[in-house]
Amino acid sequence: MGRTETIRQFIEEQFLVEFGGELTDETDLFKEGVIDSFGYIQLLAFLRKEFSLEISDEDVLLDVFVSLAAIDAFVEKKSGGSDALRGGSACAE
Amino acid sequence: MCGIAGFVSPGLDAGAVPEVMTAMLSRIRHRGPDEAGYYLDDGVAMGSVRLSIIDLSSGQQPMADATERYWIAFNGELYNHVELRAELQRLGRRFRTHSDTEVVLQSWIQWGPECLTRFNGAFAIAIRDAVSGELHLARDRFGKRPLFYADRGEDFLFASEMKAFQAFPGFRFELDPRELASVFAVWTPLPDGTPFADIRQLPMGSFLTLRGGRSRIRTYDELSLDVEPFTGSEADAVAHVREVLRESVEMRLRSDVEVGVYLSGGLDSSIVTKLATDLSRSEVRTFSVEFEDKTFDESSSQQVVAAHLGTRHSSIAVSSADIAENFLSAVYHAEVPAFRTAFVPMYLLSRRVREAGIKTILSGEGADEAFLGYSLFRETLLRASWSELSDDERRTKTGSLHPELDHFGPAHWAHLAGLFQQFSVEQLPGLFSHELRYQNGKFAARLLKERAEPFADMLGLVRDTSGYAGLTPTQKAQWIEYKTLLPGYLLSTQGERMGLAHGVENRCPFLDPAVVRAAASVNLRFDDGFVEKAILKNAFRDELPEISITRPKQPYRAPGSAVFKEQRPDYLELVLSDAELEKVDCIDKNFARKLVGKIMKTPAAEISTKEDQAFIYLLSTAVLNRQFVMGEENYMGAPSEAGLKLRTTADRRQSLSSMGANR
Repeated sequence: MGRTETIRQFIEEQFLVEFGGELTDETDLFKEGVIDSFGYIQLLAFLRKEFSLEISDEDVLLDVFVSLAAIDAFVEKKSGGSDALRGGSACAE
Repeated sequence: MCGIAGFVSPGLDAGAVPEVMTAMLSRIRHRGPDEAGYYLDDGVAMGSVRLSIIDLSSGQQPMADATERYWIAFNGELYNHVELRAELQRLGRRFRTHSDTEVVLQSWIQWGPECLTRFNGAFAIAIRDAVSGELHLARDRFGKRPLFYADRGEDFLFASEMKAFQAFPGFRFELDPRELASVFAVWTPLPDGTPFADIRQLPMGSFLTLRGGRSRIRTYDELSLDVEPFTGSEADAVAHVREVLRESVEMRLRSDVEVGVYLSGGLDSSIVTKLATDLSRSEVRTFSVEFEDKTFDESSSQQVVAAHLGTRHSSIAVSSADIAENFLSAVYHAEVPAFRTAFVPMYLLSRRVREAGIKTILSGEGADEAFLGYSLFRETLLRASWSELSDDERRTKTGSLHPELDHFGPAHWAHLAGLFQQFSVEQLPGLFSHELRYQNGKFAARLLKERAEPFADMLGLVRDTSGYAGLTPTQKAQWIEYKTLLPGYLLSTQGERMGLAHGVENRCPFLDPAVVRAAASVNLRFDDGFVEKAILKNAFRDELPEISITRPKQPYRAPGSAVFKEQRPDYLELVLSDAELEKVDCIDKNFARKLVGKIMKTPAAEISTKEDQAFIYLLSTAVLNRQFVMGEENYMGAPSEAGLKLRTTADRRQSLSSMGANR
């Protein structure tokens, strides 16, 4: 499973939602009541563990964790721009 | 304290009227086990079940004036009845009883609806004017006593509890998805709402007049929080707060029966207990709940306070099994979906109080709203000033919000800061203070098939309230609490409804208008609001044990979804089974199934508050569906042991007497 899918699946299972209908990759998950303070901390713990990320206070304060797309972009950036879970190689051949 | 019910129904078969009236009263007989009565006129019936507290021998209801023009059914207490009686007597009004009911009636005759502004009490009133044909309903300014009505065109019904309507021919309950969305989103019905279609409640501080089949509601008292600031010194303010509270407790000790106190162990109930012991000639009895689960238990501080103040204290130990066993009964009395189980122990506590022979209880409700006790107020202050604070200030203040919650601890500060940053600008006009909390509600609103905006009615309420926009963020937070959580859950589901399930009435000294006014005048004048209830603590610091002053506020909580998971009561099937879920029309089965699945398979520590709340909402809604919509007696819990003691009947129907049928 790719990075985006992994994050999507975690959010769907953890917060009992389904992307694709009224919830899109761009939906603000706080304002839609999907993620609360408790869930936010679960999400960060998941990202740290799943993608071996170092997330600093500054990162958290940069307002990045509001939508699936934003979370995905953040993880991509922190992982060095590659899809770490797929082995980090851009080469598919 | 009593219960009232009645109807205006020109079309109802005259021969059936006494039976229907009696059956409606019987449905709420737990509220008034001492005696019952009704009054009938052509097309009109009203009655009461009475819990006698003042003038035990001659306060029977319904009561009429000497001319029999005015008839009253009264639920509640008028605390200033002594002063009003004296004033009315000076004006030439003559009294036949010593009851507060007659003071209400004579006040109405003397001053009309304006009398309501003079009342200091907890009440719901029905007054019939046999000459004009009008029916008036009124409710106290904080919504302490309930009053529901159903205006069905031809028939107009009213009652202290909606269950009375089950006895009216042809009446059907139906869950209202729009109302449920609002209940789930803001935790309680709005001031005029109920979970059921076509049943409304009379908003606090208002009265309804029904004339010629048309009803009109008017407000007689607006909640006023932007009062003139207190101008004296802090010492003067402390003395003022002490004095108004002392007077309030003194007034609420007026009773012809013994008055006890609910002692939670926190600051507010300790102050009430302290003042009650000072002002009572005899030993004061205090009562409290202990939890077997020590996470929720406050018994050690209860014992310290009781010993310090010398009360005769008793408590009941409540287990998960007790909560599961009594959930159906408690929901039946609450009549509204609940987001917590904490009302169930209060159902058990009132039973204990009643067994101890006590009918009247003082409690600390209203203190947190008046004196800014909730962390919600500090959170509002913090978010409102977020952009002006340094990192250090943000860190310190965030850390002080919820010392009882791990995820508000220092380890998670950065996460919370990110979250608060997002909620430092208002998104829902007028609801800034509650936006974080309402995210949980938005989650619960997903239980419903219809995805309407769950905050629509709440947004409309604050938008249409004159003066609201000019309040400070903290005052808006207070206003919302006074209009939603306090009357819609704390005073009702967890308070009045649980007490009256066993014929115990509660009185709230912190909800005296003078106390609310005093608090509003001193709040944030001498402190920054980050020490909860600072002025109240200063006012009673020397007389209470140290633990009452220094202990951070501990929200009264009980175990939630874990209870049902652990105990597996039969009725859990209502949410476990797809076939059962199908019976609740408005519920989104897909989401409900996911939620229940997660609750059942996830360790309790990993269940978030909003998931827990949504689960309790779902279960209580499914139970209410069985009890009210489907009318299944075996889901209604333990029947009341109270009998209906019909003592007073007054049949003034001309249509029957002309037929020679007057009894």
